[in-house]
Amino acid sequence: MCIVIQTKGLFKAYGKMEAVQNLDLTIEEGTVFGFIGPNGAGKSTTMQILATLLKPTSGQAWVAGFDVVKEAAEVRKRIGYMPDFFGVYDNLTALEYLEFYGACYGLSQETCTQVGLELLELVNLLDKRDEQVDLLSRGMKQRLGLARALVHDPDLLILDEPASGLDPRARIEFRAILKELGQMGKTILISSHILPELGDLCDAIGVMEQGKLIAQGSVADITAQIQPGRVVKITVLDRMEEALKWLEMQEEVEQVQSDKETLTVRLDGDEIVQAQLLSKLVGAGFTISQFAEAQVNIEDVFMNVIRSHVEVSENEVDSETIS
Amino acid sequence: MKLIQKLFHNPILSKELQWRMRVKKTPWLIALYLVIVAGIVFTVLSLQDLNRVATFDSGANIWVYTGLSFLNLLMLAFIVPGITAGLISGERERQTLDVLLTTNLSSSQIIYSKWIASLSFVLMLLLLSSPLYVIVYLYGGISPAHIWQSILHLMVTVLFLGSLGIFYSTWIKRTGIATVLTYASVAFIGIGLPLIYILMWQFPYFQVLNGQHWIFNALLSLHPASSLAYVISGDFGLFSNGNHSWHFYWIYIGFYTVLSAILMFWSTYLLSPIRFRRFGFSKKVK
Repeated sequence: MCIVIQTKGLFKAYGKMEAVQNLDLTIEEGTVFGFIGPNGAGKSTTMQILATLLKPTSGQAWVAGFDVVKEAAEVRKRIGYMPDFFGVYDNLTALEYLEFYGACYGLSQETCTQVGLELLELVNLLDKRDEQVDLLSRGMKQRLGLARALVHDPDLLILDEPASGLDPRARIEFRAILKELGQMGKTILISSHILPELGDLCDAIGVMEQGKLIAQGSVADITAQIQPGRVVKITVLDRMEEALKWLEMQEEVEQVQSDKETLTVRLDGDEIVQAQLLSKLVGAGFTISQFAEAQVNIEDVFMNVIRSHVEVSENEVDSETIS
Repeated sequence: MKLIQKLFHNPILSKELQWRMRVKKTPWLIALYLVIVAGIVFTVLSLQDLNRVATFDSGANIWVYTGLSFLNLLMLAFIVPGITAGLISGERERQTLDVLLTTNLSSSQIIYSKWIASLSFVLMLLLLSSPLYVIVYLYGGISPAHIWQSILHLMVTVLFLGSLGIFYSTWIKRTGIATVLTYASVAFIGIGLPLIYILMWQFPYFQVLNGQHWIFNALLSLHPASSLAYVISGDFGLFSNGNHSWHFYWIYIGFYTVLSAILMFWSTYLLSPIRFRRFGFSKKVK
């Protein structure tokens, strides 16, 4: 697979404030990569560097093999950038808006119109083609902004908080379009504060905190790093209390919690251990109606990663103080 | 030729012109401009006719023509900064600049197309007021050379005011401050230079020189009114003894053309997100 984004020791400082610190990032073609992290973590700065809008203080970054500083013009041809906040021109219709940006990318008038109509259809705004862009709702403007980022058919989409400020329905619509784009093979770098939205959308995530990339990989990989083992949800039709006690006695079971109908079991082991536990449960005569690995909440992963990073940092400070 | 074709197929230029003509205030602005210019011209001409019932002094007509040119200069000094001082900062405030900078358009294309788009509107105003010039011309006393010289002077002034506005608009992030600074700079040229000139005459050292010091010549050359009056009517006898070694008009044209070019180049530099980065190449990483 071709590498679309690569950074090596990327560093950006505003005076004494270090916004991005030694970022090493590699994203392959066709990946939907989610950037998560609190405000001021350095996500937007990284995206702006990749979009050729900021010059890094040190380090290097490449998009599709082109240096973002020395070959910015080549990079721009290959990216579609959507900032966290963007305005639209008044007195332009939705189609004219896309035609304008198409022309900015050097497309002919006919191509601009054709591509504009196709993109309006993709983002479900075809019926708004003659509406003034400044009169569209926020959700529609966001979708139009996404269409604008696609107007020159870029290899890479850089979307900075694209779902911010949208109502739930607009967010769902927006996510559906992003999924479609992911299926079309576009490489997407997306940041969001609405963490659960990235969970089922992204192939991989990167967690940023205070300018550092503190974890990178699939949601499952990061969960495994932070929290080894797995969590299984078990529904037992009868003898719930007995099943709870039985599970607590098993060697591979670390923790069991129960609510009215379901037992949540944390296992120390992989999927083989999980399968063995199911066999043992059935062998012990329990009637199992549901036995499934719990879906990991990306918000929990994020919080765990941040928490573990803070603990590591504190330990380092303590050890330095002692020595 | 390719450059001109590229320029006129520029999307920003097309959009700006389209936008300008769609805005409701545009026809009002044109009408207001013409009413003011025409009102003043016809008033002056009528007063002259009333004073000299049977004859019209064509020699005095040059005053009317010069006055009309000054009036145009004055109005442009108000209009051009207002139009250009928000060109880039307005994009920044509307949050459309970042997106524009990530397109295939270079910083210089953005700057020049916006500059040309706004100035084309001003040139349209000048073109629309040209029949009034012709009316004055009909009364005689003005040579075609006067007309061409004053047109060139106005064009250079418009280009300079436009580049000054766009420079502040690129340099300063807020349109309000950029507009104030542009008007302040224009006021310095229009009012500040004559004030310095008058103040200098108060010093005995300069009085002895009787206006022959290079600073006097420089001040007169850099002022739009004195440089224009110099070429239309000699020097009207307004400036010292009229025995100048400097050609105010051409110095004005040269100075402000060069200054405009510097300001435009500087604006392009300031707008580039990664400034002057295009020297050298890196190896591709696969």
